[in-house]
Amino acid sequence: MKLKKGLIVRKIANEYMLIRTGKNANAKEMIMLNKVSAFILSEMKKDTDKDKLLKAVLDKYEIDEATAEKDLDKIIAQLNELGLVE
Amino acid sequence: MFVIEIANVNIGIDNKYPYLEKLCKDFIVEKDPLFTVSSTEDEIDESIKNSKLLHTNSRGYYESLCVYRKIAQEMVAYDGFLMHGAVIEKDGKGYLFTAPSGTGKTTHTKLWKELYNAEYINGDKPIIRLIDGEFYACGTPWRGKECFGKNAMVKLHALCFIERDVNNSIRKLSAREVLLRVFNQLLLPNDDVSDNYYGLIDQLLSNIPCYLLRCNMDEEAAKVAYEGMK
Repeated sequence: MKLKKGLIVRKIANEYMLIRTGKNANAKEMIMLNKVSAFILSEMKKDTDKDKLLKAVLDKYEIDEATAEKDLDKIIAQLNELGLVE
Repeated sequence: MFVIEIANVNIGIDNKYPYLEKLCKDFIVEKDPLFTVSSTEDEIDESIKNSKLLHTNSRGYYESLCVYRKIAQEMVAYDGFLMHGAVIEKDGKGYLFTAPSGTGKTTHTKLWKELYNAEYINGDKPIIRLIDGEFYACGTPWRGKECFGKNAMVKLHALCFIERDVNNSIRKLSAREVLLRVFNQLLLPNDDVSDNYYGLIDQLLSNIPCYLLRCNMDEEAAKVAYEGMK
């Protein structure tokens, strides 16, 4: 599982955004992210899976595993729904 | 083929139709270009096809749109980019007003001209360029149907989003609020320069205050805007 080509995570004016670059760039498709989801999406630039992502989140943030997994499931579901991962 | 200077950058234009040279006449210089742009007949056809304009324009007009799009893309390498909006100068400071077409940028900035003798730098499609750590709003030959603007540049002082309202009010926008609005007003970049481009936007929004002006068309609107941003 990884972010589709042309999608980048950028910090702009201290906020995180998911941006589609290149020919298909479209202002309406830009998504504002919170810090944790920006981190997760950055990890998805390379091919990964849910277990690896969960481990990365637990290593980086002080959060209990059950909550982290629930949030991660939600983010992955949203990314799939929006067709942003492959 | 001729050379124009925009935002202190010399640009060669290899045109097919005479419209472009006429449009650019105030910006033509006798210098060597840093880069040269042109557009193909296919690109002009594509531009005509995608046009939302109801009246018919010459092929030269559409060539000028294609060429400007390319200039804006090339400008990113020189820390410049295109933003849709009207720039006026008052007290040596540049104010950029932006809004979806038809909101009333021109109506509002005309009030500044009448009330404060403010000068148009560009009425529609200025180039914003970072030079020695400062953002400048720069005049271009592409200045909207009213042709407001001139060959000049001004230090950018504030960015102002306009919305119509019954009463006049102005407030500063948070970064989040700006990010939800600003990309609709920008020409987004090609892949190969997007890294530099979003770095520029980050610097712009971190350094230039952004406001939301809710206004009607009375003179008071300009007073509220000026007092809120000066």
